[in-house]
Amino acid sequence: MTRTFGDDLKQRLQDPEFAKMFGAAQAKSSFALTLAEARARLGLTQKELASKVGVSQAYISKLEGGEANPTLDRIGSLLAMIELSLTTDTVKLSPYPETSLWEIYWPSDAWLMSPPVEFIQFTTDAPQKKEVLTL
Amino acid sequence: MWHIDYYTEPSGRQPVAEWLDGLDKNVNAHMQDKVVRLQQNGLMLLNTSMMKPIKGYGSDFYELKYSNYRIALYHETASNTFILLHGFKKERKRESREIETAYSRLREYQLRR
Repeated sequence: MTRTFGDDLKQRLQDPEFAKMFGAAQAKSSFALTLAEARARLGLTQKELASKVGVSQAYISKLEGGEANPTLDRIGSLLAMIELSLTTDTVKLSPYPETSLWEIYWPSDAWLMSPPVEFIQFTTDAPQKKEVLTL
Repeated sequence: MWHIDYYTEPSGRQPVAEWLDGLDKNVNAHMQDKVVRLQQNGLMLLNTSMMKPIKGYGSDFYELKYSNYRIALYHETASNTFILLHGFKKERKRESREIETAYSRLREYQLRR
């Protein structure tokens, strides 16, 4: 039987041990995206950011690769060097909800059409899609 | 949202699904996380250190990275789909052979389409 990535992940998340590890990975990759985005906004290369905040370029690369595990202290003080402050938020762990309104309004061949924006509100920076019906 | 597909051989085998099955649980969790980030952010991930293009094989050929583990993949732009072609542990001596494996799967996939 043909497997899909989404079903496989949903299955694995039933295992609490795997879920914890996945959650840890998600926290790191979320910060990786946040940092890369902040750096891009400032128009800095990884090397330039590194020298601005006083760490090595290799460490910035690890942070933006979701591979470093910085303390909240470290994140806060690093961001302060570029005059930023961390905010955090939570979303559902699994990106594959049981009922997906998305699939109703955004079928897999929907790239052919323009998005029905009046039905869906989504943000590009959110780690998970958000659906808001305004019917 | 982008679509994620395992590459499926004509025989029905899905090498990346099998590769993920065989990984250490923690490495597996981290690799799956990268794929989810790809699904949510698409090519924006190239601005981070989680993903990079594989050079020398034309466009739309990339790899996701965690530690020394890699998933080589293809971006099918028309369907906004990322096809997971090949998972491997990066070792200097074997790397070009691994990329060749991914690329031959890509050619097979494209011929079938």
